[in-house]
Amino acid sequence: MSERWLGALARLALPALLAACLTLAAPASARSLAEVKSAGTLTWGGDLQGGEPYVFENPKNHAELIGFEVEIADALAKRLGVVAKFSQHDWSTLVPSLERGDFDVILSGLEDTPDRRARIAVSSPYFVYGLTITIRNNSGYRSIEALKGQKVGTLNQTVAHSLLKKMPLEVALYEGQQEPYADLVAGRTEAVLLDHIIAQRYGCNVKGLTCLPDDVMRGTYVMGLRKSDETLLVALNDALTDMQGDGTLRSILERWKLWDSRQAAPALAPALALAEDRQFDLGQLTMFLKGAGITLALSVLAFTLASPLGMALALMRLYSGKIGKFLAGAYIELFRGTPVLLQLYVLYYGLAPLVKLDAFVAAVLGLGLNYAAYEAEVHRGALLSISRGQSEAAAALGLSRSQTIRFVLFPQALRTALPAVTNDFVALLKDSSLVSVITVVELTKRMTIAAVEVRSWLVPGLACAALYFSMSYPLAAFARRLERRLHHDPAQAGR
Amino acid sequence: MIQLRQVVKAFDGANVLAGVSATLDRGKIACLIGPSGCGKTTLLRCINGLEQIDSGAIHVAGCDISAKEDRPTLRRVRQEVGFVFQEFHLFPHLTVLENITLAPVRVRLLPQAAADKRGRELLDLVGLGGREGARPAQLSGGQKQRVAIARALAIDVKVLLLDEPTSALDPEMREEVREVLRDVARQGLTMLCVTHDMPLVTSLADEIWVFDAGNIVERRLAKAVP
Ligand SMILES: Nc1ncnc2c1ncn2[C@@H]1O[C@H](COP(=O)(O)OP(=O)(O)O)[C@@H](O)[C@H]1O
Ligand SMILES: [Mg+2]
Repeated sequence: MSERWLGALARLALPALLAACLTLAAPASARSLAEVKSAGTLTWGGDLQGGEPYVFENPKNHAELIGFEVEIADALAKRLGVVAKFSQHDWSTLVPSLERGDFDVILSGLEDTPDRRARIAVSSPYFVYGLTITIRNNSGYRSIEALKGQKVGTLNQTVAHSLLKKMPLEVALYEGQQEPYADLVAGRTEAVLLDHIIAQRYGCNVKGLTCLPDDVMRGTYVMGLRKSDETLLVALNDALTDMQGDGTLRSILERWKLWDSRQAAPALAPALALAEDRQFDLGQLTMFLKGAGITLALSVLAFTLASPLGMALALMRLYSGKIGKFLAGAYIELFRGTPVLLQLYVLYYGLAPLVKLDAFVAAVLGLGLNYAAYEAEVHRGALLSISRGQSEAAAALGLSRSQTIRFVLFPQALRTALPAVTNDFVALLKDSSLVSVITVVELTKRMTIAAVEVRSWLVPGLACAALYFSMSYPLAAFARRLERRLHHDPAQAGR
Repeated sequence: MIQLRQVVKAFDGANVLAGVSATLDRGKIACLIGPSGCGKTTLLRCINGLEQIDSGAIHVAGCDISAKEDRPTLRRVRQEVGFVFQEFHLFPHLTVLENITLAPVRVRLLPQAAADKRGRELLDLVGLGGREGARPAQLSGGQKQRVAIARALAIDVKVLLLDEPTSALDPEMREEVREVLRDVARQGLTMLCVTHDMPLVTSLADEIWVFDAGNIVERRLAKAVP
């Protein structure tokens, strides 16, 4: 359950990869029930980013954590005669962190799926979720089948995602809970399929949206444990049964307005596998190459925008009138002073009520506008590094200010700036992975998807790295050569 | 051709030019000598408007430069007055010929072909015929200064200002530049040349202006050179 997939996946991929590597290196350290009892604490792993109602900071007292999973953890610990202790982890790294021994149990909206059962031990379920379709009021779709050929939004690495993948429709993948519904309102998608907890909090109440009453599918949240910790698993299952028997679980869920007819239903079989048990094969590789193609096209287009815009901004900042100087300066400081991630969000989601940019177009614009600010500073530095004698010689020959800039200063600045500009292009190539937050599936995103499908970060991670490297290395080598040539060129002395 | 009347120029409140007055007739060549830091370069820069004067007046090649900022006049002055810098200041990204033709094409609006033709003639004049495709970085100091002279002449100036044209050069390269300047002098240009290069003074100067502490302290006629 991936409402926890809030952060940009791009940034999560590396820790997960490292965690996977560590797991390979160190065998999982087991912790028996006796050890938990003697330590006096049951440590449970979760992700605060999942937010309400799972686990989140009390808005009245930020030191205190609240949420229905907090209460479940406390109740379970009490029955074991210990206290519960929370351990914060990015949602995507919970399983590797469990295996490494960072905590005793995952309690974080973990869906029961066959592939999770293959890797870790799972407890009895403590919650039943239903996959809910949300549509715009005026649209006529009444079932998942009716959405054939349409674009449907969901979160990455969810059961909803694996369900949609099997259907003849187009999937738009998001990183946070709110964005799929924002895009549905904006008309970029025709429906959203997600757990009812998310749908009720972020979709059904939104003006113009409706949730269909019937669940497409149901599944359960379970606790995750190391396979070796059998005694602890038995103890936790007993405690859970106890909580179900005496109404503790029901009262917790009722307090959080989560109790509904779903919870009374009989036990469910594990839901759809998140991952089909696939190898990293030729089909995956083709998708990777496609992802690399998108990364490259995106970077080239964004830089084609950033470069001339940066030059124009540099010229404005140095040589235009007061207002021009101010505007260029303001642009540069604004775009350098705020995260590109935020700029992408504003362009894609923030502007949606005014202009509905296509995701790829928004990505090109966002990266291009952002990098223009950096290019402007590179070009400004290059212009300032030209000796004053050059403009004086031009002035003495009768060239006007603008002719001096155009024929004397600018061509020289361009040469000076070229190595730095090439380096910036390489940086852009890698930064382009950020655009996955606005549903563009480029190389890094493709890697994280494949990592789930083949249940390993290692091979997809290495393939992804190799592809980035094969694009950036030739450019970096080119930049180095340019730099060397300019260094050896005494013409740079300007005399 | 050059008339200076009570020219004053101060930097940071200190007078670098303290009311300079002098006249140089059409076709005459004056060499300006004097100790370092006394304001010689500043005077040259004022004459073609690279520095703005604080008071007084400069009359050069039919244009009047005063303390007021006046862009159209400045533009005219620069089309009539050439400037050769001590440090050459060639444009490194352009070839030798492009250095010379840039101003004729962009300022005088000469067709490129005509500018190229004139440029080659000037390169012949400064003894660099055949080097038009070279980049400044491939030239020696003496060659660079000769290109700079050709570049200054290319817009058909009436007055040429030179700021120590040989002093950034190794001694063995000075003679080639002196040679070129003597050839240029024979074309009848009015020239004002700051220099400490005595062989240049003796072979070039009609007049010698001795400068000290922001003013001309002595003007004397040079003895005629055979
Ligand atoms: N742009 C400037 N700002 C401040 N002081 C200057 C500037 N240019 C020249 N000066 C000062 O004016 C004086 C004369 O300089 P300059 O004309 O270069 O002398 P010269 O060419 O005779 O050696 C020096 O003291 C120098 O420091
Ligand atoms: Mg000087």
